[in-house]
Amino acid sequence: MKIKDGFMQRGKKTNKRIEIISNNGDPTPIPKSWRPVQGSSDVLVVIPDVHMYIRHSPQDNFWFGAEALSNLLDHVDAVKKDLALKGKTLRVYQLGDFFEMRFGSLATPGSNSTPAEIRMSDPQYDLIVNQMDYLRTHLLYGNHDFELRHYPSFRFGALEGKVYMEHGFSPSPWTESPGRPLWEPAQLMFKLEREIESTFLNLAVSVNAIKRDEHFALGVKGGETEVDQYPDESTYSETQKNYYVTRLLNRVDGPDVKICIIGHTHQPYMKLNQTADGGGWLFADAGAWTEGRSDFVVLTDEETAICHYKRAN
Amino acid sequence: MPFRKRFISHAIQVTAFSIVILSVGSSCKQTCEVLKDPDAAHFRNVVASKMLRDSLATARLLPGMPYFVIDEIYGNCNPPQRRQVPCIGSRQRIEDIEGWGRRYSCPKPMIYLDVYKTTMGELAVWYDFPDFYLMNVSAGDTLFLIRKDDPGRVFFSPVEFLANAGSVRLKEKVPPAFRSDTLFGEIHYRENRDRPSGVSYWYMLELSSDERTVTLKQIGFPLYPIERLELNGEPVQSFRWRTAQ
Repeated sequence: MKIKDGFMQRGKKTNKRIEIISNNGDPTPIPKSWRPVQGSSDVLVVIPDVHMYIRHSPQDNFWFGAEALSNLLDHVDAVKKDLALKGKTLRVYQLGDFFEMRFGSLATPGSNSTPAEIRMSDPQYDLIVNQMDYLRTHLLYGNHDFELRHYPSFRFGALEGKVYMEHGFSPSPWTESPGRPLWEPAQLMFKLEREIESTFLNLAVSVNAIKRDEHFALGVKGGETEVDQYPDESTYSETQKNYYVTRLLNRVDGPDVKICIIGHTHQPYMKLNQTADGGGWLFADAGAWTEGRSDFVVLTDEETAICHYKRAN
Repeated sequence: MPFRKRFISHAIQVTAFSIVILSVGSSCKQTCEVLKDPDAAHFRNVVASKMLRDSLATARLLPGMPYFVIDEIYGNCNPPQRRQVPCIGSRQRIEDIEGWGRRYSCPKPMIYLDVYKTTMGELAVWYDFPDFYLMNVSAGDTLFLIRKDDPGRVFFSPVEFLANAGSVRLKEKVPPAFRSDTLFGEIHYRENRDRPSGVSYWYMLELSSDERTVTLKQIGFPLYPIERLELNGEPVQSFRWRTAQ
């Protein structure tokens, strides 16, 4: 199935808010010798890091793209229903870091934020979580919502035929990779730093120095400006790419796995390496829904692409 | 009276007076005044039940009304914590903890509690995510569809079966006059011990193309139904937020 005909278009109408950003705006063809690459599904939609935090905190920057995500989920729902009538399956994956649980709670100062507090901070946030649930979204956990691994629907990684997916924190340093010896104290310090930051931000809001809807968080780019560019590939983390490509080459995730899709870095990236003997690999980083980005990956048995979902004007 | 004694006596009086003023001030600050009456036009766009519409007009909050009603009355004055609780009537917060004090809770909470300190006392409001399983709908219960533009026109049909948590199939086909983008419905139970009124209200239903399957449209918490009210710890059938004018 072609992405432009089968996913971006419904009937005669094309969803103009979907824009392919990888491979110079064209879908990347899946090598014929690999096909079919999916197991029991026909289309995969992969949504990377969202970092949804408490709305109206100046530290939340997801809300700039919240309408776009809700609209994308509506589109995916409609396509899923269309495909179901043709006996085809569309599956949605979320790669983790959906909730920003490393920042502090506003309701219970001193504690970290919880999913209930985050989703109930805004009707649209609650709606998005319900939409994802309605789509039967397959959920992975990341380092910012690591605690969700306790719930049965959350997994570390997922395998769909020849496609392997995980959040992508495995090769990260100790500050970002749960389970490393100093991760716990690092998170405690990180939360403390965010709480101090939050105190000053609330003070600034109360004296009208900044608006509550303006975004300020140290080390996190603001989401006010929409970012729709595909970044220069040479700036992508070699450590990240090498780690997952090595896994693909060594067939760690399965003997037939050819494709790996991760998130975590917030930088979209796609690289296909095809060998003459029908081997090779495809590595994709799906990007993010924070820091102004609104990216996702679409994969069919014929093509794949990283797409950007435009904000409503 | 020696100067030292007079000074101490005055200091005690001033301190006591300040404490009283401060405590009165702080308690006044914590009590919620009615911010505004709910938007009646918005309410009519969502709710078609005559009883609920009449209650809103007489400033009376009832179980069955959507959550945005209480949110508009008191929401911004004392931002609720939207506490996640295990069942209707429970005040027990659901929470777990691991590592160095990291808290977490189920990302799919179903039942919430808000507590408002009103001038009439402490008002507790339970509301929940509506789905057909959670609300104990079963085959043989009756779904009433009521037209929002003409609440006098009603269609009803027994539920044939539950397709899943978000859809029920009716025995009868829904006539064209009742088909619209979103439907308002009431489920009248044959028997439901958890719901003494025997009725649940559904604001955003959609009709599938087979004209017999009714599904739930995805909604955010402003459209979750209020399930129970307690005033000063006692269950109440309704809560009057101001004297009707």
